[in-house]
Amino acid sequence: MSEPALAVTDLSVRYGAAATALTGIDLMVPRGEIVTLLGPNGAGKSTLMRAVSGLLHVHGGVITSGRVELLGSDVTSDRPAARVRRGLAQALEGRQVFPDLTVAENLAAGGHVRRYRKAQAREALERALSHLPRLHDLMDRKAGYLSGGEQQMLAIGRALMSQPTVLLLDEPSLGLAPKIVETVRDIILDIRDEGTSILLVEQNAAMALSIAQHGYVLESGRIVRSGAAADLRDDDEIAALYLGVSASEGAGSHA
Amino acid sequence: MTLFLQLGFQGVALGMVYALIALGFVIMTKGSNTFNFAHGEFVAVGAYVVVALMPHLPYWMAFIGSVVVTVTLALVAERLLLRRLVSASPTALILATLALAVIVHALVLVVWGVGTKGSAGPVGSGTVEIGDVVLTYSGIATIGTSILVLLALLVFFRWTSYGLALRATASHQEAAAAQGIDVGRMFALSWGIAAALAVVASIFLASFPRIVSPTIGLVALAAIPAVVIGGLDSFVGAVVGGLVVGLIQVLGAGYLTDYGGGRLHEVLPYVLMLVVLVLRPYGLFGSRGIERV
Amino acid sequence: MIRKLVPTLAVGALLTLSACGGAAESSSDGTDGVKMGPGVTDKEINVGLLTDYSGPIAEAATSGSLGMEVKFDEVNAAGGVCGRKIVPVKADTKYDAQQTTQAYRANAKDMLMIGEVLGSVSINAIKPNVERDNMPALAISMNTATLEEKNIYVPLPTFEVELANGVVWAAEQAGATEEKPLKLGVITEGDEVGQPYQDAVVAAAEATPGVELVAKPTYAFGDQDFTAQVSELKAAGADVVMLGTAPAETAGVVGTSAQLGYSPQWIASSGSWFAGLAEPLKGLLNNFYVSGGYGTLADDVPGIAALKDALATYAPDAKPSNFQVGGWLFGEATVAALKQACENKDLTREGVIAALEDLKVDYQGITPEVDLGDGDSIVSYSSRMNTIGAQGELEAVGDFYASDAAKEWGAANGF
Ligand SMILES: Nc1ncnc2c1ncn2[C@@H]1O[C@H](COP(=O)(O)OP(=O)(O)OP(=O)(O)O)[C@@H](O)[C@H]1O
Ligand SMILES: [Mg+2]
Repeated sequence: MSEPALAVTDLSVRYGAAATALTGIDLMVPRGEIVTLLGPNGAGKSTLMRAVSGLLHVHGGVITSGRVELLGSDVTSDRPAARVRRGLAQALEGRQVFPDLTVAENLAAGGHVRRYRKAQAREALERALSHLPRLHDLMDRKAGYLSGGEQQMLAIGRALMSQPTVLLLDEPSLGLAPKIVETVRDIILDIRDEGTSILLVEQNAAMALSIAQHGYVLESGRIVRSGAAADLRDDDEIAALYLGVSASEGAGSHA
Repeated sequence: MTLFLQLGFQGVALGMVYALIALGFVIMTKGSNTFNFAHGEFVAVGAYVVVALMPHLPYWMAFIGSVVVTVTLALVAERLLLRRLVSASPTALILATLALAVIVHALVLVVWGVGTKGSAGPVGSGTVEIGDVVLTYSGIATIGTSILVLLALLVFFRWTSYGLALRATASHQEAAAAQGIDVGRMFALSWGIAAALAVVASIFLASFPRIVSPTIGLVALAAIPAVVIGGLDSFVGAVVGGLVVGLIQVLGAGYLTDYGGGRLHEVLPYVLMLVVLVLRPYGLFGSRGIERV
Repeated sequence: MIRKLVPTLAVGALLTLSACGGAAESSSDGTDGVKMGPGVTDKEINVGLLTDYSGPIAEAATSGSLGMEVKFDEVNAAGGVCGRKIVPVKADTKYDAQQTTQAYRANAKDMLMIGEVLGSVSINAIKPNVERDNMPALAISMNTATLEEKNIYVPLPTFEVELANGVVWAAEQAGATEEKPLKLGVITEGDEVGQPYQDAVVAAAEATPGVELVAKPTYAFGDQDFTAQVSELKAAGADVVMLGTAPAETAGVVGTSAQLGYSPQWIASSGSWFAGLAEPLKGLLNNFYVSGGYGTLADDVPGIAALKDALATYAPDAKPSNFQVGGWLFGEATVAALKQACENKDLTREGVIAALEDLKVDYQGITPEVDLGDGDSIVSYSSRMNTIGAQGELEAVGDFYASDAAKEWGAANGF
């Protein structure tokens, strides 16, 4: 249990010939913790997620240097399926549910990689739904017809179906009403409490830092700050940039 | 009435053949995002291999042999051509499948010559009569087998993990990959299923009194209006579209010969295809593309 | 004269490269004083074979081409024509208009004449070029629509003649009279390919006492099911059905009829039959006849003996096929035209066209001698009835005959 859930070392990523999207990223998610990755639009947050999950090639990106380790194993050049089998799951930015499949089918597809028997599938489903009770009544609905909040829950639920050890969440609060953001936040905590390690990408820094133990700040493809979530929350600059508080106000509360 | 029933029966039988071919198109289009124009030539390969093996093996083994050969060919083609072109534009992909069609056609000619062969059907020229309507063994076998195949497909897509994974891939490729579904394998699976369907279609497309000839691949493309009419992404649509085209062709030959110079039944499927394209571009049963919230 | 310039320049360029070093004029003289046009040297005469080597009717077409080629081989072994070897320039038309045009464009400048161009589709595609280039062409589209085209000759009886003669033969066989009429049906493709066949059968039926035409269904190219057409023939009670079909449709029509319990006498033109159909139609051919404009490999005549010799020598592995006979006859006509042109010391395209005028071609007993006349007429009204042997081969019944009905139909249509 000594190795971290996820360790990224000196990672650089390029899209196409020219655009370098990430440079020398070092990042770690300890077991059973929530780590958040903050940063403005275009900083490279989703790119880092793709590098970890193995989906870079779908977007024409390549890793030019560095390493991704999952539970102590080097998975840098593994295919996405192999990583999922090792215990990695992910809810993509923008939910990306299967719109013409029902909720039940979406969830079942999330468990495909595990080749469950009937009883195992039912168990996995019950576990996932225990975090997301709202989905219970929607099982036969086409996912494309769900509301944004419901789709986000489905995206998380689908990821849980493979019973991951490490969960990547890319901006789960995106476009949701504050009330729903609350719910999603509780769900994330709930999942963490079950022992799952979580890398949470967010622009909603207030929410993210309120539940994370650790945080990183990404700008233009580089990590510019990192530290305990509590420290980042109290940092003036972060507060100004991501918490919607001006630097002077932040300073005031400090003094 | 007898004539109507007689033509209706033959029309349904021919329509089922088109339905099987149309389903192949739909499954590949959904499963690998590629409209494979070489599919007609897969049908040709299927028929030729069956005919080549028939004199040496029991029929069912000739059929299995053809499925093995045709599916292998499809998988090799998919791997060599399409998987390398994943990031190519749709136009480039379609052109690649057109090139593939020409190559496979040439291959058929090289292996089997330019000649016409016998029939490839599992049953001979026999018939049974119900009232005044003659039910040909070919027709009965076509309809019966097609229904079984359709049911098998239904079970596969609804109730098996691979069927679901294939539909998930068709629905959203990146999301499927993120769930650990091997998208490349799903491409291959869709081509393999389509090729197997092509073999089933081929034996009935060349069932007595029809024979195997090098044009069989072109004949198979008559299923394209069926695909468009039904909707490029709809299984039900493919079946309905196939039946519509088959019935138009056969009933039209009986009842429409006094109009349009006797060729209306040939043109009508394409007219219908254009009408559908204009009024409902996603086909009678296709999805408009469900909006993501 | 601009029309002539294009092929001329091309040939001029070729000749400059070859030993003669000729000037760039429309023709040059060989060392033997023979005027030479495109595709002709002191050693060779290039003759185009524009046929379907890989398309839908390639099986028959390749056989036919082989018949021509062994004719050329035979003639070449005996010293050729005018001391020159006849060289076949084979161009694949795939029985497709586009492909034919390309095949013609790519090869025309190197050809003196076209020894065969197969099918209405292909002929129509190159007909403007043939007229512009003054290209003499022998056409295998035994369809009268072809006859009137400029520079295009059909050296054998047409399918219409075969069908008309077949109608007369059927009436005689049945002993048809006004009181006891023979009910006749005809099935053809419902387009410009099938129309002349239907017309000829209709005319022959009208001209023959005791024949009553009761049904004339058509089908569309690509049709896969013939239930409707067969039902129509059956309902009309046709005793005899004339087939103006292509071979695959012949199988569909005859097979479907058997399934629907309908078994009339079938009479096909030679274009509707090929040996490969014997297998799928096994047991259904007892009352099936082919009216053929020329003889078969089984005939005991000098022409067939020569063809068999040539096949044994130059194509020993070829499967016997009656299309080889047809090709051989086109070879005979080509050779006859070249010999005549050589005699006139004019191996240019104009020379060949002049030679074709009123040319008599002796087919050595395979079919009666023909006179090409003005190139716009039917060259012979003779055909012969055949049954089908176990391997699908034609077996003659009776002798060649030319019916008045066929001639009257020809005369009425200006052939
Ligand atoms: N497929 C691609 N090809 C080329 N460049 C890309 C591609 N995808 C992303 N990029 C670029 O890489 C950089 C990082 O993008 P990325 O999507 O990772 O940012 P992000 O931090 O997730 O932004 P957001 O908060 O808007 O989601 C951006 O400059 C973007 O333009
Ligand atoms: Mg992003």
